[in-house]
Amino acid sequence: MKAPLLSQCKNSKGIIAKKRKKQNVELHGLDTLPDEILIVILSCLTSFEEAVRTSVLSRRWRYLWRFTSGSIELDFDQCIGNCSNRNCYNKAARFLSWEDQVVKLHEGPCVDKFIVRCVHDWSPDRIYDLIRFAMQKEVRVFELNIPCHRFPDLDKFLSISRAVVKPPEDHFGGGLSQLKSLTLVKVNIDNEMMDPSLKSLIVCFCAHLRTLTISATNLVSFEYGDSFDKPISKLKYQFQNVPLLSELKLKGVPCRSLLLWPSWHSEYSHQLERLLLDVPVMVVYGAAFRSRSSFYELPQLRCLKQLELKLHTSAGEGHLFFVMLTTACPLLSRFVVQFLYEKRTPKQDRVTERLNYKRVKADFRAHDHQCLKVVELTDFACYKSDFRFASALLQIAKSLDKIIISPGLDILILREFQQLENGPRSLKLTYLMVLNW
Amino acid sequence: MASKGNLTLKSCNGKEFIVEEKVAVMSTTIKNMVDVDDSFAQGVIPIIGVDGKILAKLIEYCKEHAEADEDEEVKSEEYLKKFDEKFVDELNLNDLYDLLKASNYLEITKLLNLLCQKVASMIKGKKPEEIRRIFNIKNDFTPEEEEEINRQNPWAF
Repeated sequence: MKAPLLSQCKNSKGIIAKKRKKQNVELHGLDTLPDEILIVILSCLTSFEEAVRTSVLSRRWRYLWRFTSGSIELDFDQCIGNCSNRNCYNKAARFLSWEDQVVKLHEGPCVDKFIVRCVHDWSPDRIYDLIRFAMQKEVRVFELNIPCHRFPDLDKFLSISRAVVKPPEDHFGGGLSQLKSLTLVKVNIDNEMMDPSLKSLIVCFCAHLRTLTISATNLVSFEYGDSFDKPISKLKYQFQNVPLLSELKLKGVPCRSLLLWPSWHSEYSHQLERLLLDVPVMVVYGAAFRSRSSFYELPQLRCLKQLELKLHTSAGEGHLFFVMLTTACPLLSRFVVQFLYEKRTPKQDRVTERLNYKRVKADFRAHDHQCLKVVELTDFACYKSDFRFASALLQIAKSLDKIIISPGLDILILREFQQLENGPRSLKLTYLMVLNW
Repeated sequence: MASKGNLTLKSCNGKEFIVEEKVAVMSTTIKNMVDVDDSFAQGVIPIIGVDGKILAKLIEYCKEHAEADEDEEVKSEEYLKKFDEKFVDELNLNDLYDLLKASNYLEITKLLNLLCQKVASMIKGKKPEEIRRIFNIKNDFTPEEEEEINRQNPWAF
């Protein structure tokens, strides 16, 4: 008992001095700042998790995260992580109660991003709570990635969307008037939605979605993705009043309709400036059988400047359809193609390729593309069909400045490349770049 | 006396700074004062609670940004980004706090966000003890309370 007292006496001066010093320092801690600044700091944290973690710092910090206006991300997988089976059930329950708490307890007036991802089916009421939350907080980016088999009553949903136009009666606060980006993944809606200020809309893997009518005067970009192995996409999307729409991304089966039945899309296709297609095997195969006469007699894509294709295909398949596609886009200046070969089959031509090549060969010379400047071919596998593809492009596009070829993993056949380089010398090709040599 | 188009700002420890109006009105608070009352534009504007050192820093920041707003070619976005980076890197913690308070009071939103980003980046990826130590935050929880919070927090499994 005596020892510490003694030592205290000895160092008493030192201790006091230290205490004083400490007090001075304390005057300058982060805690001297008002709450409003601390909330801005929390909102600057890019991950919601980090913001919540600060609740353990001190009493003052305990509830500050509830005011964050940054991003709120509730990711079931991330939260549960790689847990052992025994704990999984508990953790899932905890995640749900946590999600519930966040939605109920958040006190800030607005939230920039609201993202919920979960692998399990949720009740419609729960989903409805999330949508309501998103509206109350005037979120700008909203992602709902939940396999919900019964999406909440769309009448309610629509009444909310309409309320955007007349805010005073709106019982959901700001509505979706601030929404700039909406992502729905695996959600099952069966009708339509509208929002005047929506700029970008992404709908992915909503397998039960039947019709989607998009009427959004500010919509610039629309992305729609569906499964890669179903024969036909069930969703019929249609646009009404989308004067600003200029970017379209389609993944999977939906590409089929746009590529093979262009006239169904003529109402909006003429205003597109950027088109990105992730084309599944069967659509590539289907397209290979098309002869020129059956498609794109008119320049359907007359404003298109950039075309990016991801072609899922097998070795030797004919891709000349996609070369001819450029003739439907007179203003196209940049054309990017990625070949994704699914199976490493022997490097032989397929029937479709030979058939098609003979049929279309004459057409290459007839066409003269005036605007195409840059062509990028990635994962070029050096099949004969790949070279035909490149050389067909060289013949069509007299205006070409640059063709960038970055080969895939296959071994390169130098001789073929030299042929490509020597052959169309007469064209205005300035240089041929081969990346990743 | 400031010439026309210039304003005089006075720090709480009596230092006066003559700045162009376009620089001073980067602060919404000052802008409102000048807009509402012409006499401010003539006389001296006292900046309460901000000392000379901090006020000089504020003016340095506002000057760069006001000039960039006016002429994008001379001061490009990239230049500004570099300036911002250097600006926050050179601050010690105490100046950082003072600047945060000052920019909040004067409503210089850009600067406030920049500084908050800086603090956020310092919090990021650190353990609670580290954060407490760096920012001098006193842990006033009992161990039981702390455990309870950790239990509620789904990321603290």
